[in-house]
Amino acid sequence: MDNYVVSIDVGGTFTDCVIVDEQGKVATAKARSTPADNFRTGFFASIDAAAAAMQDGGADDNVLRGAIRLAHGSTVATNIMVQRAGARIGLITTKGHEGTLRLAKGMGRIHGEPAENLLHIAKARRPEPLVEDALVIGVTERVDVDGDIVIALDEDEVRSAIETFREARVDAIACGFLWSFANPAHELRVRELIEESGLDVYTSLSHEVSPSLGEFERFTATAINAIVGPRTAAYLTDVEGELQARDYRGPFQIMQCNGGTTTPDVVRRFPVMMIGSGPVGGLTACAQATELIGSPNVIATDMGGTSFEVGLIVDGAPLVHEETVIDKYVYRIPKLDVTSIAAGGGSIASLDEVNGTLQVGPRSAGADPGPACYGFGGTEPTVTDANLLIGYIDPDTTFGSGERSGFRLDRDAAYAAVERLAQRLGLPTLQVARGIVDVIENKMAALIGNELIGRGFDPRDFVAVAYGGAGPLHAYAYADELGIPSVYIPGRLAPLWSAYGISGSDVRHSFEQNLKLLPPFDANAIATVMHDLREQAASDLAEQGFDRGAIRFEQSLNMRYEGQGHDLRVDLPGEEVDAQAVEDVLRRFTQMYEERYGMATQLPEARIEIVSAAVDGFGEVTKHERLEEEDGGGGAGATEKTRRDVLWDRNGEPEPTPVYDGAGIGAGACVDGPALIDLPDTTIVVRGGQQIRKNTHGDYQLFFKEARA
Amino acid sequence: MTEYRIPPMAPDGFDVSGWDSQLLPYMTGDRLEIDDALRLHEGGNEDVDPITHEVVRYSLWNAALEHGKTIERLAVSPITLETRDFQVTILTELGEPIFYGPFLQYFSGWTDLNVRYILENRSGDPGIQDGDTFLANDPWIGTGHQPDVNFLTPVFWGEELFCWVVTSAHQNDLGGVVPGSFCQTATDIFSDPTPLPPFKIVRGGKVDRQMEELYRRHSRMPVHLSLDLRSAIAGNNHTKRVILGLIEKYGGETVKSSMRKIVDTGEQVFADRLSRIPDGVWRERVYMERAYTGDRGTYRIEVELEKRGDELIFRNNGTDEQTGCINVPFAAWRGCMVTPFSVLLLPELMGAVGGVLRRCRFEPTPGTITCPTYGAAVSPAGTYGNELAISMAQSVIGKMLLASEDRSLWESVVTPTHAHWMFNVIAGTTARDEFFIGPMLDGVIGSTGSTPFRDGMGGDGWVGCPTAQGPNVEFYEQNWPVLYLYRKEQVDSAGAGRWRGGSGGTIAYTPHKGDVSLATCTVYGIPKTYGLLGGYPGTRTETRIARETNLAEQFAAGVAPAGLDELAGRIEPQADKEPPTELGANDVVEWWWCSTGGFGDPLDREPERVAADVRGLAVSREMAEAVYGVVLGGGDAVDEGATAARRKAIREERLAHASVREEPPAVEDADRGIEGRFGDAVHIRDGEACCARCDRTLGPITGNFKRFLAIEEAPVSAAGPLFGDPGLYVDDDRIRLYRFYCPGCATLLTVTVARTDDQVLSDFELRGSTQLAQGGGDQSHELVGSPGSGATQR
Repeated sequence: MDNYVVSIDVGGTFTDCVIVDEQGKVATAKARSTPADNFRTGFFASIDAAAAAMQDGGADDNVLRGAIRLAHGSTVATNIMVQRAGARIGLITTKGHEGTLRLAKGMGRIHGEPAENLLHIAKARRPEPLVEDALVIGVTERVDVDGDIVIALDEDEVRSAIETFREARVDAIACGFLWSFANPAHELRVRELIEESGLDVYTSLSHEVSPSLGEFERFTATAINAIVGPRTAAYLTDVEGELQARDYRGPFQIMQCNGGTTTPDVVRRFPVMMIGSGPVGGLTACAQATELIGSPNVIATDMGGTSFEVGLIVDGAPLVHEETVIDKYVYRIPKLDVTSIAAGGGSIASLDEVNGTLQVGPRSAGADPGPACYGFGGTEPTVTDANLLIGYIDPDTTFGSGERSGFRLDRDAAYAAVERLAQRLGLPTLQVARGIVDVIENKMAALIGNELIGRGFDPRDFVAVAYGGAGPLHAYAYADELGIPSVYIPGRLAPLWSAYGISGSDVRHSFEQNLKLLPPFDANAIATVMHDLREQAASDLAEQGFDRGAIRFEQSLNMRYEGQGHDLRVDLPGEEVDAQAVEDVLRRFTQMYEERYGMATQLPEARIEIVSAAVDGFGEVTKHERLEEEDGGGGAGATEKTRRDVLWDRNGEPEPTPVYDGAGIGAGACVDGPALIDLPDTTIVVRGGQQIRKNTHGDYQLFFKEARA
Repeated sequence: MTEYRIPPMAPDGFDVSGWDSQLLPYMTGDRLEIDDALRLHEGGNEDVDPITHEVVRYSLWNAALEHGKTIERLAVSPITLETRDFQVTILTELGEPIFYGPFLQYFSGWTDLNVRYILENRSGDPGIQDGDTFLANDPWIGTGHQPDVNFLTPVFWGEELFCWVVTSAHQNDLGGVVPGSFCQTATDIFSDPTPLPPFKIVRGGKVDRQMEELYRRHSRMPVHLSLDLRSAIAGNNHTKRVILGLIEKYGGETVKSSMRKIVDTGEQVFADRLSRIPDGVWRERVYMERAYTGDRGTYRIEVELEKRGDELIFRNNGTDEQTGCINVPFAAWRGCMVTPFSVLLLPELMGAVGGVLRRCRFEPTPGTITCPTYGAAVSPAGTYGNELAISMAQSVIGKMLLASEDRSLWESVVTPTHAHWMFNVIAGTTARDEFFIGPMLDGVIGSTGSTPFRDGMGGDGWVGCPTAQGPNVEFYEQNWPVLYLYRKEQVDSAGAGRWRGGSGGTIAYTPHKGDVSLATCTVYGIPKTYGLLGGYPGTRTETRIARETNLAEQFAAGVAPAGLDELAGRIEPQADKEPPTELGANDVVEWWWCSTGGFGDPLDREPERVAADVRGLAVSREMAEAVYGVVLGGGDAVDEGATAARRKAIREERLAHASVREEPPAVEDADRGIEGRFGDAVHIRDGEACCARCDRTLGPITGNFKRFLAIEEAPVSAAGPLFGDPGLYVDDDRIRLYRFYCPGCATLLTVTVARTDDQVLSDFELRGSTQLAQGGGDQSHELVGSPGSGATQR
């Protein structure tokens, strides 16, 4: 037995698998995702391919038989929402408030729109309703802010609603009442009445799905949970069946958007937690590797074919965002904060006729037809085409995996695509290719700048991590632009960093309670809330087999100055909450506020408000450290390949630039820029004035040779 | 002193001398006089390649967005936060706007004026230095109303003033006789918050304590003022840093060249749109009501838009004299006029509408409600006149675009947004015995209008501020001691039309675990939010209190009332601008937010769409039959035979109730060449308007062809089931609803409100060689009221 930890990350195009054995040996594979059969074929094909890679080192026939843990991230729930291929649902809500979802706080047009489109009122699209109007049924009941029942639940009206749903043949029922998270009695009674009625449908209650203030967001989460519920449950059952058939008996852990995993049973009840979990794996991988990376403050950047995603880790913990947006709907389930713009290798360059500028994105050539140089019929120039023309990408490399794998890039097709655009712009073709890269790199830097500077952070206090297929190509540029002192590139794991992160994610259960407290603060009251939240987390983790020793808690308070609309999450360390702990947390809030927004923004007279309390309970899982090579030091001269002409400056000439084969570079070797390091499926670009060093894990660290102001 | 040329604000021949903010509002001519002590960075006339330009343009735009996020994070004024009642602007050294953010759009009418005023009046003494920030909220220089405070930071590169960064944001309270500074009892500026002309609040990067103390003394909530000041400084500093970073990377010449190219591009695109529109004049007229507490008057507001070659001229002639507190500062009115360009005509400029301003000229008549002279009360303009002005701008601009043969321009036509703000403000004490003021802004949930191609949408926000956000019920119930009975869309609220408007909504609430009084509310009787080309108007805002109801008994008996009529008790209508009223424990307040108007004649709406509206509870069966002429049979299916008969009968009834007052004159030979259209409803052939449906000639297009239509006069309540007798609120029985039909086929071409002694508004004229009428329509013609209507002026 090799005690394998296996992780599978199912994305829209590729399914990635990473297997780590107990010695820390890592095997990886990519297979084509198979949405046609609910992603199942791709799931197991990726395992088989990674197992084959592991077997070269003498692994068992059946990796699953030798696995102690299988962790899984999947885009399945996200896809159901994006394609609106989910369940037909009925919604029971508080009478008089049937319009909550439809009215969407007046924001239905805005949510989820790229900022570029915010002013497009006449042409803006409202999303498809989550629930048909006729299937939103208000019933008499009312609970108030304190959880007191103002009007009793009219059970006959609930029964009648259930009958309407039965006739309409709904697949699932969502129930959202005002203030249900302050007193869930009415929602729980609705579940009983559904059960009593004998109607066998998926049920989703708002106080369970998203127990937080704000009925629009809570009902939205509840409806989405019901919409994705039945198919997600079926998917998990399907995969579990196949795992059993393959003799896998260990835990099956599913990645959630909060950066932790949980059991299929929990996900079946709260599949909404899977939505947005896709980019989270990479962020958790960074959080697990902060020591290796060399900083507790990390900018995690993932660039693939269609998007560029950024998440932040501050003091070792990924930042949490309170809201999720999907298909123009927004709801409040805390998730690891990952912001994304449409900027990837497939982003299409075009002439913006209105502004007379070279635009890159947001349109993408996607996986099909893909960039022109893939030769699958794409004719519009993309970032990847530009990268090929300016010399960043090896024209002789083979690209892709699975189906359509191993194809050669077609430089002529890339040139023709960019040339057509260049003619319209009246500029030389190569200069436009370089311009495409400059424009996309500017967008990337702007997004990172927004995330950092907008929150009051200084880029110089961070290390960036670049992963995804296109990440290592452009990291040098945003580091330079923003003054980020170094970039960490996880070598051959870069294209599968998310899958790797999933394998190391702990089980996580998060609980939050709305408070709205003003000074003077009652430490006992806060202690009681924290205690209750911890108990909830502990009990859920105990159900999953974690004893107290394997459980750890993170407590925090969301705080702001009274009247503000934006909170800061402040840690509340230690289980004991007394007057001193409260004083400390207030001081830390003030200090954080000062650090981020400057002394000038603070006033001694302003009152601090505690908005809510949160507890994250973690069940710690077994992780295998990656095997290390010996640090050989020295240079990388032996692995130098033929130089490539790289156009570094769009007003300059291409310069012959040293190229190295990453696979052959020994641990500890350093390379001075300008240089290119070719890796499977990607290239690391090192600019003049930068230096890159390979470490004993096979990862790379990019530095500026001279410290910058 | 040195003179610098700038694009003029006024049309040729309009003399801006004396328009210096002392009595008349500040306007600029074609040059600014600036003290030589200030050196300006005037360069930036290089070619910028499309790649560098994209990088600089994107970075500036992104800086404006991030600047806005900083305000959202740090500000405390609830109105700022929820309704995004703020704006950020980057302007050139001479105050030409480069980028506005996606926030409250009509702020674009005055940030340039403030910059130019400072350049003209502060460049010598006290001087404009690096590290300064000026604060200003003077409505006669430039602001929407005094609570909208501008924080203006000059950005220096070396010794030269390179550009400006501005935050404008609504403040919680700046004094005046009413808490919150919407002073509805004010009848002059001395009961209003004191206007603050530009002064330095920050010198050398530090807040000037003296001036901050002086500023704080204006407010009932000085802490909020100080916090919001700091949020503005943080925002301005952010954008300043980005701009200096760009200069460092690309050089000042390149960055400035890109800035100028952004403005130039906006101008070119706007000019290109204008070139596809024939020259002409378009007008709108709306009645305001109740100018101050206790007043029962009505007040005429008019907007005239002329397109002349490659520029537009906005006028307000025909508008009544300034009065009470319903006045709109000129700068605000200017911003309202151009709002539809940024969000409807040219959203692809992403807020870079400085070039649009170059082509928009203003010729205001001073002493009027929309161009008051110094001394008028203006502080509540943010809730009364400014929304009205945006709504009217949408109307005249929509009419102008419908004159284009290029139907792609029609895609920017959206029937006007609500013509007034809608709210209740409650105050009292919570269960914790803390005083509160609660501005209930459910109206932000909003409604957007219909277009020539689709219906309007309820719950779709607000055109004037694309990112404004409505509240959750739970959020208000947590903050204030109230309990909502309902919040929902109103049946039959959407303005009827071939494309119907978006629905409006209603809420009801009762005091719950605390003491509550209704501090102020909005109530109107006269339709103001018009439809277009025969579409009916959107609804109005209304507030009513059901007193001493049996709510407690109903709750105890397990009943959730769905309307005031289900509560025993006395219904007490409220009126606009009235003093606060206490609420008893069993009192219930209901208020409505506005819908939007329809586009086109409701009889032309596809019957299947009406049936779907009935099934979707947007339209009642009664309204379907009475206004749309659609008869539904079993299962709400269209009865085609009955529908055809009903529609025919309605057309006959229309002509029976209407009268044709005069026959059109012959078209003057010189105008024979004019061809064009007014949307799909009216074709212009040989200088003559013709009904597009029946081809009947309606009258010369250079005059006012509406005079020759069949005109029906009706009580205002005919505007829709949610309208009643405005006599409840105003003493003016001249106010009537007028419907204008094609005398041939009875197609409805206009639904409007006028006084019986008004002239027929000439709202669509195309220019031929004949001189166009100016000043509230052709003076020599018929009054809109029919001779027998019997209404007299009071």
